Amino acid sequence: MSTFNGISTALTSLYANRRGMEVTAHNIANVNTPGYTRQRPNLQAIAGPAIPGLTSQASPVGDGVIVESVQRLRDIFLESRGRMEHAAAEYLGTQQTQLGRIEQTFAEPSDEALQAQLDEMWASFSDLSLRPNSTASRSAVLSRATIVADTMRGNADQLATQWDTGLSELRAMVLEVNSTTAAVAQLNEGIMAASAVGQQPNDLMDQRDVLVMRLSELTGAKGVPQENGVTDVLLNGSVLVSGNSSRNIAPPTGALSLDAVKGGDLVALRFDEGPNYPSAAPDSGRIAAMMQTLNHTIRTYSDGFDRVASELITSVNTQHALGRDADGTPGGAFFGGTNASDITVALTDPNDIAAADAGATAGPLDGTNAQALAKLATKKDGPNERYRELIVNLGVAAQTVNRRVEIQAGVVTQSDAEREGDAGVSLDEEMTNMIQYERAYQAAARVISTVDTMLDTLINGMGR
Amino acid sequence: MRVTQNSIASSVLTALQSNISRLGATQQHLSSGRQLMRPSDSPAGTVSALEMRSQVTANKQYARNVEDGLGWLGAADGALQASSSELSRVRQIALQGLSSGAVGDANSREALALEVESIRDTIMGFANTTYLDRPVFGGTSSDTYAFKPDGTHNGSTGQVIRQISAGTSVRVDVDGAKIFGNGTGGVYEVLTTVADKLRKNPGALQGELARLDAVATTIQSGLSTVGSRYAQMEKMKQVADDAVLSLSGSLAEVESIDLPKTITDLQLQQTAYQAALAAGARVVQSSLVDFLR
Repeated sequence: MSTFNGISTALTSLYANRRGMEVTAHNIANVNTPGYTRQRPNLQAIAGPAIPGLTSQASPVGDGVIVESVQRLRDIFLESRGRMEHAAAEYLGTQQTQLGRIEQTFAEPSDEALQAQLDEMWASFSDLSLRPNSTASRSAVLSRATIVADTMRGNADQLATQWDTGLSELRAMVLEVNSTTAAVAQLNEGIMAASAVGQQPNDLMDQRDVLVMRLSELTGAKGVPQENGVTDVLLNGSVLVSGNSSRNIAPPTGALSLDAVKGGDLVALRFDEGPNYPSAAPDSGRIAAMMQTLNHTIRTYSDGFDRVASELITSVNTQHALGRDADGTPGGAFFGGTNASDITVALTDPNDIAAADAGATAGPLDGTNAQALAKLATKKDGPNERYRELIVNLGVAAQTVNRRVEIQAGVVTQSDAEREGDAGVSLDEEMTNMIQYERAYQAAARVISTVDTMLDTLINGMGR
Repeated sequence: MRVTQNSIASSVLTALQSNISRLGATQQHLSSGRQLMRPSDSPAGTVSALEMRSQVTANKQYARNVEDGLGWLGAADGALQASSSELSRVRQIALQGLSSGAVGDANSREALALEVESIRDTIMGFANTTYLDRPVFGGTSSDTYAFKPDGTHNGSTGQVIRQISAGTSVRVDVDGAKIFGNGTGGVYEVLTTVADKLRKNPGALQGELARLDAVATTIQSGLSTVGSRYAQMEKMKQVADDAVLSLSGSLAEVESIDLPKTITDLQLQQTAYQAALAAGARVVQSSLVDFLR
């Protein structure tokens, strides 16, 4: 047995505990770094030969300690669940924002919004029936109707603007996806290179996972961990990142306006790979919600609003044609246009309003038709009823999404707390470890000085 | 479950966030005075708010229609009342003329005849009563008088109708041709004949008395029709006014906040928020670092 074995055994302990202290310092330094995963040195005793030789002189005790690896403590299952929940939360959050904007467009219930304006228009028809000979009453009808038409066109226009803004947002998000996938591929390459030479690129992996989480939030993409530490990314089943290569998504194609969507065209996302340009449709996350908004949500309410407008135009025009205006001629078209974006008041001369019934017995100052026009307010499936139906449908849809957002926020908080609890740095734990490494270092140093004393006894004290 | 300083910090932050967002919502309700800000706050409440708002507007309109109708009927009622009392004076004069007979003083009969003629013109004046420049006995005519100076009806047969509730509309003009007559048998013709006979043949006035009575009865019946319509309208005005009041009340109930409840909620949420702040401050502060030398 070597005389100096004790010193080298204690030396391995000094090295190992110093490494432990370094890891602790790194953990403490990154306690507030987003996405940082706590690390732990895995210590292993250096054992003697597993199968001693026949004439072995090896001591039965081991030869000290070695840091076998520095482990990154992150649970991939918690991580993939976290990505899924974040994607769902982003999906619902985007829907909530968009439905909220539609609600703001209609701004009901209020004393100023369309319902109140419609009511005032119906009332002005009724007022006209009281004084068919009053030009003031006739002008009042025209101005009330003009307000209604203007509001309808304004609301339709706001929906179209919301659509255009949504498309720009989608473009920006696609650019972000492309730059993020490129960064993930680059980090994967670094991780591969470091792993190949036996290093542990824990911090590169942390950075990579932050980016993969961002991809999940945008597109609902899933990370698939591979053997050598790299993570591939799948977008709705298609490869987005594989090792150190990534694919680019082309800017949105297809419909370029709300009118195009209403005509049956849809916004689509494709990989930028000619000539086939395979589909790149996300199944969750903000982009999926935005595409849903562009292709369906806004269109649904725009169509519903068009139905309100067309019902208003046809019912008023039909009833108006049954009457006679101040000059005794049959009523012409009261409203022009066919839907919410082109509705106008076609009449310009107040005397052209057909307030009188066309029947032979009705005198010149008859107001029957004006009253009949006012009664359209309560018509079954009439404009008022259709508008209320539109608003209640919007309210129910928005309320449902709002509730789901709240529930999902709870789920995300829970999942984030679990992930943070699992992979985050606990200062208490680091302090404890610090004391442990400090004490172990002190003790190992003590072993060395004790062995030194023993050697001093042997070398200087003996044979005098 | 493993817990770290950061996981505590983030859960404290989340709790504070949800506390303050509730506080913000209550604050918004209080400052705006409304609990229904957008349809998703309560889809059912929104649709009833929309319906009630329409009904409030409709009922206000009914009240306006009734107001206008009462004007028409009131004018007709006054004209008919006055005409009726004038007619009874004509009957007295006719009886006076009849009793004095052909032997009576021609001058005094001439005076009676003149009085009858002036009463006739007065009644025709009543028959031309207008409301807001429209003759109440002239239907939907655009002229400002219902009867020409010669007593023929000038009005239209069209009816003036007022919508006074969702399902009720009431005629507010009175058919002048039917009440005051047009040509033979009409007030003008009967009174002209009476005056004529007073001058020339007082003995024949006996036959005119029956015709006078017929005219008076027609006016009386017109008066009772107008009266009953007037009463109906007044009742409907009450109904419409009450509906506006109660609907506005319900609308406020759906849309507006319950002030004491909201203020209490605000207090509770403030307390909860402060408690969460205090607890968070204590928990997040300490770690083992504080106790190591």
